[in-house]
Amino acid sequence: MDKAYILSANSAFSIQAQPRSVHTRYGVPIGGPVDKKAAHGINILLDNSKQTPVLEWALMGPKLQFSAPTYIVVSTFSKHTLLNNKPVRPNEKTFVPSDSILKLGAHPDKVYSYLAIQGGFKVKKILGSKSSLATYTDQGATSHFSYQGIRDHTFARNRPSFAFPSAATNRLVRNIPAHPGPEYAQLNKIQKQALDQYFTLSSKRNRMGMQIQEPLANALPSILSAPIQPGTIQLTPSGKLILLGKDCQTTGGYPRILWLPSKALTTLYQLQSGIKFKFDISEYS
Amino acid sequence: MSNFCRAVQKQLPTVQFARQAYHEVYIEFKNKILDYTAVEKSLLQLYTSMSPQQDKQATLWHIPVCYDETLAPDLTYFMQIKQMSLEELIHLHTKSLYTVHFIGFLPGFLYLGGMDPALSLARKDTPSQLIKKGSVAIGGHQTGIYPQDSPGGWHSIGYTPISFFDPQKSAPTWAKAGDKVKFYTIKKTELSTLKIQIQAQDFQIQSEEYHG
Repeated sequence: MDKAYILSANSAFSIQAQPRSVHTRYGVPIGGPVDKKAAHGINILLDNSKQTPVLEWALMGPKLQFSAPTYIVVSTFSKHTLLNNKPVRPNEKTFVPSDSILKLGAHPDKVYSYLAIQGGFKVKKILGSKSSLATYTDQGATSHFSYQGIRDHTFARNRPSFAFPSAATNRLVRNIPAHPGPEYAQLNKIQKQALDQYFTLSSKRNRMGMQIQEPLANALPSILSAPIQPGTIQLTPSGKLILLGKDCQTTGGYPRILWLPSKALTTLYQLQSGIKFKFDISEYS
Repeated sequence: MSNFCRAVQKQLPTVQFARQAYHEVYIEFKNKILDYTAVEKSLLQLYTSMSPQQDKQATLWHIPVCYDETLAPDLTYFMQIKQMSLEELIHLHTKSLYTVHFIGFLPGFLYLGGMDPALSLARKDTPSQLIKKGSVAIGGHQTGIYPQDSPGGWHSIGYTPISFFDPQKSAPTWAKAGDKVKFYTIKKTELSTLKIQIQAQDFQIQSEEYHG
């Protein structure tokens, strides 16, 4: 099996494939790519099945070396994404010669980016999924992900590109759809009105959750631990709002005041810290 | 509750999976619900059809715990603040029959009910950066075992060498919601022998059928 060696890494990255769902009953995070559409899209360009394991990174990605030729697709453009020091076009099948070095950079607007490889990264299935159970930070020079290298150098040129809705570049993002959560009714009128302001994404964030900068006054007391899922917005006793991500805990004791549909969760997760946004709260129907 | 949760998953074809906490069941459906009233009705029907007897079949697990200050960083503080001797603490912590309400927070973390109220102590104001795997801890009115190294706000009063989560197994935890847990005390000298046995896979957690 050929290998993609991780030469260095600056921030968190992981392998993401299908979510786990059933294993949440053992307290295992559900997992799966933050931006499902982006991950699926680049797999399709390589004729991989949609949930083939991809590498997901936040902002600056790791530097990789490939032991054998293969094809890759990256999901986002970055002037810092370089294959043997040459820029890589996003959403386009790209040939990677043997011993290539690939640097994965940060997209100017989106936080999460993806790298798919032909045939997928060969990682071990754990609890029904190939998604990482933890995120890697720096795996050092010896770690690697295996993949099936190709031996014939047939180029498939002029592949059609896959279109994506681009992330909002505007600093103000309106209309993030949200629905009342189980404890929403416990909020008083003033608190409910306060949810109509512009909120700012703080830099305290990872795949487990993201903290929102502005606190909500007079928070609610803790609740008996209850099920939570990605997209739940919790209100802590100190008034902090926390949006739960794909690797969130399965149960929690903070009031669940809102929940976001999965598309809205991706939209917020792809926004950079400091961007202001506003919820559009409506009853779920 | 735990058997209701299993029945929901098994008997309703529209359900993807179901899991539970203390007083809530989380159900994920395969498709968008079109007729909410019908779903509600079928869930209620299933709930009322369940005999209380069904919730009483469970396994009782006996878990060794070493209550030693060198392994439990908060033990001394806990005894001081509670004005409690070690013997008293061990007695109160080992006498109860705990119920596994559900698994959550961390992979393999059992939410145990039934702790003696005399052992209750509010969580730390500032959570510890690291609570070691195997730490037996008390937070508020609850007790639990950290299945992995983790930050946490509970007071660590003991240590168990038993592993609560093995991702290599298809059912990664041996306990299930509804099961019972009882702790028994072991000395620090017994711990090393136990650790060797566990490593050599020469140790089985003592368990028995439990009929409420």
